[in-house]
Amino acid sequence: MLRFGLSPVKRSVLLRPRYFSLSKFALNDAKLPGSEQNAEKPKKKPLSRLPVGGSDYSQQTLKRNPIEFLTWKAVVVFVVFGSALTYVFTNEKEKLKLRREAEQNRGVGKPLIGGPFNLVDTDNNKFTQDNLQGKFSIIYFGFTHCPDICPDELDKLGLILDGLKSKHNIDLQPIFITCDPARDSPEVIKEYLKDFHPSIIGLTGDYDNVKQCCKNYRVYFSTPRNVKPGQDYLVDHSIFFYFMDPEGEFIDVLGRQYDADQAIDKIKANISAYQPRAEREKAKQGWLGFLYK
Amino acid sequence: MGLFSKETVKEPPNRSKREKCWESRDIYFRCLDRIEVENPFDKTKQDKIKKNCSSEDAQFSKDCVTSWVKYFKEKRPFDIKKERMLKQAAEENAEIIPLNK
Repeated sequence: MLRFGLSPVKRSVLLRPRYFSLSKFALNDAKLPGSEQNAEKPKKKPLSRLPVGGSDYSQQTLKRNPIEFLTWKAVVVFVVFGSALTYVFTNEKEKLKLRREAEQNRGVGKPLIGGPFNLVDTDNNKFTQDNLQGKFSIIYFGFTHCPDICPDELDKLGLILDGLKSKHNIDLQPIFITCDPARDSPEVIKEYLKDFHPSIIGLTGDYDNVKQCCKNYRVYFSTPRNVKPGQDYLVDHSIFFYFMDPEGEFIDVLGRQYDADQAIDKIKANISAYQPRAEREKAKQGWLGFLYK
Repeated sequence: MGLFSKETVKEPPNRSKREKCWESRDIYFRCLDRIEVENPFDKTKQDKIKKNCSSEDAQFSKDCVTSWVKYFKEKRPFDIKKERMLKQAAEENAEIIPLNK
């Protein structure tokens, strides 16, 4: 078919539709290699813009309409592809932004926030940074004698966890770490957390371990070292949720200004954008690596 | 009296206790609103508070642990100030810029 289109004879046919019947002769006379075959069945001509099958060719001319090709099918195809591409690119752009942000938060070398800790859960089992591996975690620092903010925030955490589960089928590992190790024994925390979402893991430890952990997470820690048992005091502490990736690295904080729904959206976006370390390194080395700088 | 005779707090307040405490706090604060006292520790207004809100104060101190009572009383003037500022900002159509993203 291609050969056919390239022959000079054929071109003249296209330009002068009125002489179609003549050109048919010319084609036959020319006897180009392979043209015999083609001439015998000239019914299908995919490259021709002439309407085929009309009675009088002389009446039919090529439309000079500039929007000749603007059929409804073309419009549909254009709109569908256009919106699909726009969607994909905005989505990817958003992800890239979050990744870059997370990368900045991770820092180079030693993590800015997070790191090793050595605590015990409410059943007196050891709980360290290794327990953060394999799942996204959300960490909250507080203390059981907290008057108003912690209970509110822990209630919010319950809403966030339920929302993530029902809306996106995402399970986080929620962790509550006390900043008041003197009063918050595993038993006390266990009792305290009964009022909140059942999946929350309560952690405590001895004074130095808790202090070190708070320090690693940049949590302001004001508990005095030597408090008498039963003494009544409050602890100042930062009120953030720390969102950690499945490799135990810090991604972002969620402050009090987010309500449960906003927090859910933010967490969902971060999870969608997440890439494991190996993949991140690879992306950085790749030809699109400049996007991460 | 209340400060030292109070039994030592080992157990943290549970949900129902917390809610009871907050309720008593709100009742006490409403009383302070009535007599137009912002800061419960305002020395010049102690007599006024004692005269008008002593029963509410007693109930508040009974339902909440001492540290909480102190905390809530200290917090009250700040909360009022904050509310007033936000209200004023809203009246002036000021744009509130969240400090962290």
